[in-house]
Amino acid sequence: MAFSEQTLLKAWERSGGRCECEKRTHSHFYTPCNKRLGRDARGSAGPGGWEANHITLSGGEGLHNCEILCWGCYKSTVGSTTPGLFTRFHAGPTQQVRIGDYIRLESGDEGHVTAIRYDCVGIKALNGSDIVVSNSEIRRIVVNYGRSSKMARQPFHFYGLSLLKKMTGLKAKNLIELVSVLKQVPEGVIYYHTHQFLQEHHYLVPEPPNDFAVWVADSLGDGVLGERLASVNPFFFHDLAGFREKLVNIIEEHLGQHPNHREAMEGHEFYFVKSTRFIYPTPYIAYDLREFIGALRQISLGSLYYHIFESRLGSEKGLNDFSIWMIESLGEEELGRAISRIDPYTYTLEGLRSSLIKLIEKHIQ
Amino acid sequence: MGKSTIEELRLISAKLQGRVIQNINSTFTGGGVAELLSRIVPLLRQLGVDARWNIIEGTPDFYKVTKKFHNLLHGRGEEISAADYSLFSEVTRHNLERLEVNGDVVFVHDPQPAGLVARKKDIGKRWIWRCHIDISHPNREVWKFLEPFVTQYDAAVFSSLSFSQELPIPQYLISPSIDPLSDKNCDLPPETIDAVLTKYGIYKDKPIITQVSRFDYLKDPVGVIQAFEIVRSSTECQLVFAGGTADDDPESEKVLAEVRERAGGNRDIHILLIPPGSDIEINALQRASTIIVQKSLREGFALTVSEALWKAKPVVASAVGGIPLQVRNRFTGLLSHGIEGTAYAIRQLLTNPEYAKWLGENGREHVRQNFLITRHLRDELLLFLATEFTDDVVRF
Repeated sequence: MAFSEQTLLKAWERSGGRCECEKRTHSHFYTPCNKRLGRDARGSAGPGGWEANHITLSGGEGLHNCEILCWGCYKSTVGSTTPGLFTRFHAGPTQQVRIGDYIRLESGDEGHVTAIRYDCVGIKALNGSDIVVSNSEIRRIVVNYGRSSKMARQPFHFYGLSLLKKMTGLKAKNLIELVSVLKQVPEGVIYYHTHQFLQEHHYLVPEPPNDFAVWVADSLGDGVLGERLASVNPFFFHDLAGFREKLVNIIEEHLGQHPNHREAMEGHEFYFVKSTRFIYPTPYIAYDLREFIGALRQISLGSLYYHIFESRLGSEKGLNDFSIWMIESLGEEELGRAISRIDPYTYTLEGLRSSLIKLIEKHIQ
Repeated sequence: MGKSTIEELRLISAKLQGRVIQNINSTFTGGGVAELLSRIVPLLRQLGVDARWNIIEGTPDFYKVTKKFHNLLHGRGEEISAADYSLFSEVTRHNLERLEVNGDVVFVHDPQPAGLVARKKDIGKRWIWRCHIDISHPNREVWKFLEPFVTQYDAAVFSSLSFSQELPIPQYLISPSIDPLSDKNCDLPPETIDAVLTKYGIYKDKPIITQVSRFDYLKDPVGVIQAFEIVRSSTECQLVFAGGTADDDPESEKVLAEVRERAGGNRDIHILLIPPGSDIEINALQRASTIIVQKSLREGFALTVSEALWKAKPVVASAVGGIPLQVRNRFTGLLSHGIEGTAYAIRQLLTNPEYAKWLGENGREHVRQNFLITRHLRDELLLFLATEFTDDVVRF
C-alpha cells in the first residue's frame, strides 16, 4: 500500500506543511497537533520529520484516506519507532498478525490491525471506532482472515430496516370476505402478512406459516386450506403481485370445491395490517469479503432481513443485495450465485446469518 | 437484548434530533400510563431525544367522570349524565388556558387530556392520541362524545388490533411491553423465591399451577378452580390464585369471597390476596410455578402473560384480547377456549415436561423480540417519525 506522488503532493498542500493529527489520545489532546513540518523531512525522526498515513487500511490510496502526520503522531498511530520493525507480530505459537490483517478476538472485538506495539495491538473496528487490545488478549484470536485479496469497486453499505405496524381498519370473518379484501388491499398488506412473521418469529423452529394460513386453520378450523396456504413458498415469487395472485387462486379454488361458510368468532376476525418501513444507513461498510463477514456478524436482524428478503422482492433479477454486490462490485460471481440460491425462508434469521458467514469463510479460505 | 438493538435505537433516535416530544397525561403517579411514561421518558432522553412530560389539572369530580368514561369505553355498564360531559369540557377549557404546549410532537395519552387537541388549529404541530384502553366494545355514547376530538389528531395508536375504530386518521398498533429490570420481572435468587413460598404455605414437592390476576369475574377465577380440579383428579398438583382487589371495584371483594368458598378446604388450592406493590412476591410466585394460566373471559392486553413468558414458563391462556399476540398457539404456549380445554392443555404440559420447557423457552424469546420495553421504545421513535411522512416506505 503506497500513495501516489500526486496524492502525496495534494495531501501536503492541504496540510499547509503542518501535522494534521486530531487524535485525542495523543499529547495534543483536544486540539489539532499542527506541528510545522519540513517538506523534505519525510520518513525522518529528526526536526520537521513526517509521514503520510493511511487513515483506514481499507480506505484505499486516495487523498481522502491520506493524512500528513508529524513523526511523533505517526509513531503513536502506527506504533513503531522504526518502520517495519514490528510489522509482523508473533501472538502465540501458531498465531501471528500483521498490519492490515482482519482479525476477530474471543472478546467479540474485530477489525483491521492498524498498529502493532510490543505490549498491545491497535484495531480499527468496522464502525470506525479504535480498539486497543493487550498482548494477552491478542493471543485469543478466534479467526484471522489475513489481508484482503480483492477490493470491491464500490463498497457495500449496510442499511437498517425498522417497521411500524399500521392498521388498515379492514377485517374479514370468513373466507369470502378474506379473498375479497385480499384482492384489493395494497401490496404492503400482503407483504406484512406473508413476511412480517419472519421478523417476529425468526427464532422459532419450525417457523409458523404466513398469517393467512394460521388464521384459516386456527380461527376457521379449515386445516386443509391452511396447509395449502402455508405451503406456498415465497422464495419462488419475485414480486408480491404474483404471490397475492397465488393465494387468491388457492382460496377461490378451495371455495369452489368445498364451500366453507364457517365464520370466525367475534374478536377472532382477520385484521388486515400493513407496515410503515423505515430504511436508514448504518455505520457498517465493507470493501472486501473480510469486512463483509465482520459486518454481517454485527448488523441487526432487521438489516439482514432488508438485504436478503426485501431487496429480492423488488429486484428484477430476483437477486438479493448481497449477491448483486458480490457479482457486480466484487467480481465474485460464483459466491454471489451460491448465496442467491439459498432459500432464506427455510432458515431462522440467526441461522441464515451463520450459513452466510460459513459460506463466505469457506470461499475466502 | 443485544448490542444491535441498542445501535438500532440510537440510529433511529438520531433522526429525531431537534424535535421536542411532549407527553401529556393525567397523573405522574399511579396507574399503568404513569408507570409506562416514568420508564419510557428517561430512556428517550438517554437516547438524546428531547422528551418531556406534562400533566393536566383536574378536580376529584373530573376524575370520577373520566373513570366512568374508562369503564364505559371498556364495555362496562355505568351511568353517565349531561353534567358529567359538561364537567369534562370545563376542565378541558381550564387546561387549554394553563398548559403550555411546546412539543413538535404532542403525544396525548388516554381520554382525560384528549380535548387539548383544540390547540392544534392555533399552533399546528403534530398531534398523536395514544389510547391505552380496550375499546373493542365501547359505549357508543361516550365514544361519540370523544370521536370529534380524536379525529382532529394526526394519528391514533392502539394496543391491539381489535381496539381499532373506523377513523379518518392513520391508526398504528403499538403493543404494551414489560421492563425486564423491574421488580416484577428481574431475576430473583432462589432464597427469595423459597421465602415467598414458605410465607404463603406453598409446597415445593408438587407442581404449581398459577394464575395472577385481580379478583374479577372477567378473569374467571372459578373457571380456573374447575379446570384445576379436573387436572387434579388424575395428576398431583396445586393451584395458586394470586391477586388483589381494587379500591375502585367494589365487586372484587365479592368475587374473592366466592372464590374462597369455591376452593373450600382444599389444601392444594392457595387463594392469595396480595397487597399492592408486592411486585417481588408476584415475581417469585411466577418463577416458582410449573405452569402459568390466564383463563380470562375478556382481556385488555394481559401483560401478565408476557411476564410469565419472560420467565420461560409454559402458559395456558384464553384466546381473548391481546393474548393471541403473545401466545402463538403451540409455538409460544397453548390457547384454550373453555374449562375442559384449559384442563386438557395443563395436563398435556404436566405430562410432557420437555414440550413444556420448549414452549417456555420459545415464549421467552418471543417476549424478548416483541414485548420488551426496547421494542416499545423503538415503536414510539418510529411513530414520532411516521407523522412526518405519508409514504409507507421512508428512506433516510
